[in-house]
Amino acid sequence: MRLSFLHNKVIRIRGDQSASLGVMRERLFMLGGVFILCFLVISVRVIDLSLTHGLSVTESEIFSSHEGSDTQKGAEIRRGYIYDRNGELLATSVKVPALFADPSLILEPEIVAAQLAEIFPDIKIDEIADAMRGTNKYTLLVRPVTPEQQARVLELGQLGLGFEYQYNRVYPNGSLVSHIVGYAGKDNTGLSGIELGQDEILAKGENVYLSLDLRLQHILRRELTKAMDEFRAVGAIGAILDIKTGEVLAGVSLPDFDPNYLARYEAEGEAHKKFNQLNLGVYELGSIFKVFSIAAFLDLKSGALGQRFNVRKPIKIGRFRINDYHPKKADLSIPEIFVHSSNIGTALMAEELGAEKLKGFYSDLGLLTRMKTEVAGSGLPQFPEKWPRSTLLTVSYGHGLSTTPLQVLSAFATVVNDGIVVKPSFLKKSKDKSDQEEVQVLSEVTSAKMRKLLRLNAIHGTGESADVSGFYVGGKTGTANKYGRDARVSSFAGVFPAHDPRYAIIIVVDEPKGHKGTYGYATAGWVAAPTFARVVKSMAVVLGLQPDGSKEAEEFAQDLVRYIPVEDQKVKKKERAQFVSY
Amino acid sequence: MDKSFAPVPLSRTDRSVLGRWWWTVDRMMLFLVLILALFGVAMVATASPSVAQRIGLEDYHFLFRHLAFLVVSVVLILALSFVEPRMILRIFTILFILSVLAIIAVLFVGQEIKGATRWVHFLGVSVQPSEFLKPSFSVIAAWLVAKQQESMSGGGSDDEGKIGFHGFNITVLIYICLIALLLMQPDLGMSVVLTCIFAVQIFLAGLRFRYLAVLGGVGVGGLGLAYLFLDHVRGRIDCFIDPSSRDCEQVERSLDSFRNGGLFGTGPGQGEEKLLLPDAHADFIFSVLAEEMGAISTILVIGLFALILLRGIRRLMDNGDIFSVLAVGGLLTMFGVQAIVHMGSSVSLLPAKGMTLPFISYGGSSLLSTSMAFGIILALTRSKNRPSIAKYGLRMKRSVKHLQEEMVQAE
Repeated sequence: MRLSFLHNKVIRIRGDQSASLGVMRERLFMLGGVFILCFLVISVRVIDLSLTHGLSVTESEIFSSHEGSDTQKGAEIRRGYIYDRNGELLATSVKVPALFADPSLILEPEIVAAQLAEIFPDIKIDEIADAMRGTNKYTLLVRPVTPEQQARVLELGQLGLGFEYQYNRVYPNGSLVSHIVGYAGKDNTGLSGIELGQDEILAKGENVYLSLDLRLQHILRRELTKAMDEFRAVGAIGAILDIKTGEVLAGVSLPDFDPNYLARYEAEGEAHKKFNQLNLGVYELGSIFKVFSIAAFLDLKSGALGQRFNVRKPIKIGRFRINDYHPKKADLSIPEIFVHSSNIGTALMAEELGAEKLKGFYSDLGLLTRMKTEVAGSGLPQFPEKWPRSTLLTVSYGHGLSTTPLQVLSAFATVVNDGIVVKPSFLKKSKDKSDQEEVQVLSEVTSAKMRKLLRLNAIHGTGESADVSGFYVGGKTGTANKYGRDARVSSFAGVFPAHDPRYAIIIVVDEPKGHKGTYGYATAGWVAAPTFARVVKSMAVVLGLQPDGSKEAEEFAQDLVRYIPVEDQKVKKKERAQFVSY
Repeated sequence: MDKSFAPVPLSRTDRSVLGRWWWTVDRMMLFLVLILALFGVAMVATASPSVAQRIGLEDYHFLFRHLAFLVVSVVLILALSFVEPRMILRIFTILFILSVLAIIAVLFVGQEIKGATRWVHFLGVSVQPSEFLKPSFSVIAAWLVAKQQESMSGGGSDDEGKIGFHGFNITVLIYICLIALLLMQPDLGMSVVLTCIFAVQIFLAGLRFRYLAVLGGVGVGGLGLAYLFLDHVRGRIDCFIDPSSRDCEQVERSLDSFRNGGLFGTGPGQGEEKLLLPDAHADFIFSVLAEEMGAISTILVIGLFALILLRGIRRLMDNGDIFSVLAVGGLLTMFGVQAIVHMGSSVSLLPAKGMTLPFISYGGSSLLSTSMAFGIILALTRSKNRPSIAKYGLRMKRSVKHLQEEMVQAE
């Protein structure tokens, strides 16, 4: 107000040029003030931008930019390593360069994309060009980058391309432990196997020690590969279980994959290699189930081994008949039924037992529910909801019931382990941690009888070629037809030493084809049992196991030999191989 | 000044043309302007090669042209500073008429560059006639308004006072016509500068504040209309209000250059944002300056601009000629407004407006027009130009403070 007052006063005495000049001077003064004010504001803003990056005004812009990802990078935790039980490295995290672009500094995305495509054959030019066309300051283009590729990118001299170092998962043993260890994605989160099952622990940066023994893993994989090649099989599965601790010492599923080069398995016809058949695949494993149903009969019916069953005629259920592969013209004792793998004999025992009891026994062995382990994912057993007579009788010798190989190995180990449940674990157990709750599902007496039957089978039965001198193997073969096809699954579940069980092993060979050396046979006795024997031989060397010559070991199961007719004991190997049931 | 520049012939008693010039011209102002121009050469040298490469010219194309224009400009400043005020008026009346004709011609034969028709080819050089309008309008308007002030007889209020010459009304008319012409190109930036020149001149001439308020309202209204009807103006203002609403790359990159630069800068030639800023050598040279030289140097440059303005205003305080005060006031405003708009846009305090930074940016027409302005400023502020020191000498030297005391007493 004062100014306008002043102004009026001056105008009133206008005419005098000096007064007019006076107004001018006053206003010039104000004009100068306005200019100074403007320049001061701009100066403050310049300081604001250069010192505080103009946070007050463009907060969101800053946080979305490159520096935001810098802080994230600093917080990145190195994912925990995975070791085998002896400290061998199975999975590790290595810092590798990743190529990123600052699109705001890329002038010609198409040209840069074309240059990059020469260095990285896998990338798509269009996608890379699009990624570099944005206005943001950070776009991840390729990871990981090899040192040679990095050098070539640097030679391009493109201002907008840069490298940052990120952890990348590396699996030093490649495909050897692929399915158990599994793999992690590019964002370092677990996607399968232990990497997924133990993701929480690994993500915290803690290391994981597996129960696996890399040496045994190698032996098992080597022998399974041999069997696959020899019999032109489509797949092979195996696992070695420490009965005393429940630790899985080796687990193999063939074909397998190299987790370091996952992209290779995206192609059609390759994806199945990533499937873990040991934990996830469900199969009808056939006659191995006779171990479980005979154990059930002995345990629940307190049956004597010497009682005989009439196996002369096939069992008729409607249109369906249960046959033996080699019909016997006599009543057979339980050891004979087991050694000859008689379907009829086993079915008769199951019939005497009844569906409820057999189902209950299978359930106690964990064969009817999903078996959870530390490895992510497990197959759900497949079987009919209701067990009428037809189902009861076929299920007793392993038909009409699909389970995972690991599940069967676990049940098998339970049967020979004095009936105390063996729960497979893929993590190394500390020695003092034996306070685990023990669940006994069958009697020690039954278990002892079963061990003798298994040992007898390896001396005078279908499992003969699985025996290793000095290690007293006991085991059962199984050969199952694949539904509707002329293809079979050969399997062998074994334990050694039979008198004091320590290791249980399962070998499954998927769709083997016979050859001259096996007289055209591809039954379990020719395929899975010899593989088992080779695994045991190599294992013994690696683990330093001494052959046992003790009287106790030598005489184990000898009391059952008397059940086997003398002429059968002298049957030649070629003929014995035919004792394989279906 | 350097002693070597003032040899014996330029003693205080030297009555030659050069001698009188040396003792009366505002040497300080000349010195500051030359420093600024040298700084400009450095900035064009670092900012323009990337632009030249981008449009397929030789690296130093812009630098060499800038240097050539600068030589012409310095000669122009010095030459004009010798010219008598009356001659200044004549020269710029002619230039004004030529500029207006050229602007009208541009509308028909001009080159369209980046969506606006502003340029015309003249003797092998593309010239932007509206650049020369600014200094010449400033001179014409100052003369017309001053003529009215001087023609008024003493006594009586402005309501009933006799007005011998309707200079003010004529100026308003000219102003409206010019704005209409400029908006047809369209050239909003030039209109804003012209408006500011005129506003400051009538402000200095003593127009009541209520008229200034009306003028301000018209200005804001005009900008509002520009926002509604000119697409590129709307885009830039939207960017200014909410950077996320549109693609505001220029603004973001300009801001990034300040962030990259920090206090001490990346070093001359080391800036990265200039590779991506459009017209880094002209409309965004302030950002290049900030990135490469850092905030401290940037503020020194801002200080240099402020110093030139204050020096000019200080010199006017001692000037008793209304025409000179109005003309120089308008020219200083032209200089100051361009600087403030340019700097304000690049730090996002104002909507992005392509305006050159006087003496720093590349641009032939712009450099010549600014040089003309400073030639006129030097010519009109020569100390010998004081009318009748014997008569007004004492009173002229009174400060505003004295005047205020006198007013308070009168009350």
